[in-house]
Amino acid sequence: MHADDDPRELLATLEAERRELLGEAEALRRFIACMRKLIDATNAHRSETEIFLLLEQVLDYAIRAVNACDGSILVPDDRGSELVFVIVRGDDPHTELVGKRLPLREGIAGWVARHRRGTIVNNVAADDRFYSGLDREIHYRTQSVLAAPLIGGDRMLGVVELINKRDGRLFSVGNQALVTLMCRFAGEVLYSQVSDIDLSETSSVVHAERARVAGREPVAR
Amino acid sequence: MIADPGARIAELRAGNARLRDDVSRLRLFVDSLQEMVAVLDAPSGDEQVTAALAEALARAVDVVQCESGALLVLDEDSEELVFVHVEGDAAAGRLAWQRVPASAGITGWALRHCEAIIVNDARAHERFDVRVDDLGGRVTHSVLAVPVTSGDRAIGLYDMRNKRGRAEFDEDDQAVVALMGRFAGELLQRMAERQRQEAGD
Repeated sequence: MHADDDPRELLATLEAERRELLGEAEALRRFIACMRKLIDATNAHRSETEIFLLLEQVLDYAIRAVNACDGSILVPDDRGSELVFVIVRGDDPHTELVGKRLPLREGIAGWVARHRRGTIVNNVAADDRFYSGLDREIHYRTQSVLAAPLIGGDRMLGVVELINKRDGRLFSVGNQALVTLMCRFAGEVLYSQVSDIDLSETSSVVHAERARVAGREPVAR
Repeated sequence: MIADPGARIAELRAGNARLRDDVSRLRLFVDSLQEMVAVLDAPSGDEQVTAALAEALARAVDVVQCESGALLVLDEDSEELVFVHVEGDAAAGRLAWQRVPASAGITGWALRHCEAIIVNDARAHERFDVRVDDLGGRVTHSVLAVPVTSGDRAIGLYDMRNKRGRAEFDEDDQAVVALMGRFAGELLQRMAERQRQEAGD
């Protein structure tokens, strides 16, 4: 039976379409708001901690804009041979990843850092670049990845990874365009504000402070 | 149980059509930003730069839903703003390549202070200058002016006029134009540098 023949079925189809369109319009508006925030950030001096918190927000916006479950930002270490997880966000963020290192020659993030360009992998199991060691370590199941480089002042400053599109859907080229634009500006902010920022160090300081504050708070009964 | 499924279906169809238009406009705007970035990232001639600027302005007028939008560039020698790109109604068309004093009106304030401004009752505003209306042959109700910057210097501005349906410009509209202004500033700066270089050769 065609949906047009059954009012209930047609209503359900139209309601589903409405939800999808509302979600996409909202995601695009969030993207514009996020970019605006980044532009404002380039116009005022920020401390390393402020920049770090701004990057956390950028990652949150990116996760919501492309409807991913989780995301992370990795930066190259001093020697440039490894990538270090500095920010991990999402539904149930695996914060134990913060501080973990990945050889630059491995994984999708490593590929993005080496080639300085983004990529979409909608089935990681079929992609040679995927490094499954971390999934095993934290009991996580990566299915799809959208990754883009953070580049500022022609330097590769990091990699943004968005993990697992919701509802089993596929990351699209449109999603990649949004994230690439965000990363371009985030990279510019990073470079223009503090060209020698050590995000790895800032990440340790911020996470230690959060742990300290969390430890002081009374446990809810 | 819905009392009148027919009415709800009609309502959803109309609403979804509006949402589709909204999403399509936003997507096209993001595409135009990407195009600006592509032009910035590759060695591009003046023609590509002006095409990217014009396309972005057209898409921004669609997203913001106003009657007209213009990119004005500061002529530092004459202290005037020049309408280099115009988009929208017939009045906008009449403004192409016209000049107005850089210090005049609401736009002059935005340029001087390097700060965006929304004025939703323009005619009643103390800074309103009627010259642009006279040149274009229109009545301005609302103005959204956003500076186009290079570093911390305003080198021009976007002048969006009359939100459709007599609605008011808001922060979301300002964000859209500010975003475009950020890329436009880089593009204009790049074009000016190239022209200076060519003049020196």
